[in-house]
Amino acid sequence: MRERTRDEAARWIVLVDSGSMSESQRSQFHDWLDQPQNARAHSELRTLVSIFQELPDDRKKLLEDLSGLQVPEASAARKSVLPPGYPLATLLRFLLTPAAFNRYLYPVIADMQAQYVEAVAAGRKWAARWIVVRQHLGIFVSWNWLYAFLIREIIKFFGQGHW
Amino acid sequence: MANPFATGTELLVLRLLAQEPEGQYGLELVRFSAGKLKRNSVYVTLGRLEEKGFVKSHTPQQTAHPGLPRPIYSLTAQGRRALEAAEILGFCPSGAR
Repeated sequence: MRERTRDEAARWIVLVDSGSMSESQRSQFHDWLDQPQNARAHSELRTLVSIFQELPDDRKKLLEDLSGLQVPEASAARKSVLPPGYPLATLLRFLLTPAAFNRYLYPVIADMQAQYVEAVAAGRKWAARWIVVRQHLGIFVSWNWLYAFLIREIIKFFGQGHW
Repeated sequence: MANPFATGTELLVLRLLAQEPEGQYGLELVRFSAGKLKRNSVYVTLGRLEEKGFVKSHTPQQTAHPGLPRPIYSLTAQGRRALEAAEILGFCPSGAR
């Protein structure tokens, strides 16, 4: 991780957890996060901070005494946003082969979740809901091969006399 | 000579990926393609290119947002050579740049 990227990630984490981001800062943060190297740096630092935050109080106190740093409290706002798409992912993971799911549908669901979280974070609740509806419709309307696959699997199932 | 790629869309994806060595998300490709790639079909194209060995994907273990981590796509050496060969031979996807 480049030092500059790591420092930027640290600054954004502190700002996000402070809960006092302005709209323009939020927009800048999402632009910054769009770069994969920045997303990776943010993810690594966020994991580290989460590990510290989940330490028992006595160990957290010890760590603070040793390092002279204060471990930030976990952000309630960040924890409360659980994006939709998990039931769909579970259903499709069950219906499809792992290769088909991972290659074609997993990225679509992950994109939907990322866009949903960005919209919620920006306070655009209706846009977030629309993203979810659009993506679910998109999967079921335009993925014709999915139906072909399901029909083939059903025919195979009945053809083998499992019923 | 026939185009070694099934569609011009695949060349377009390779060109877009070549512009960012660190890799890109599927949605970034859609955005930078100025409407030529669609969000629901870009992963079919990327899947085909992965099968051909021109593209590799990496999914981080952690994510910067709540939810599933998004895969990051980048060119393989084979993909870069294929793109260079296609450019030398004059196979140019419409509006790739």
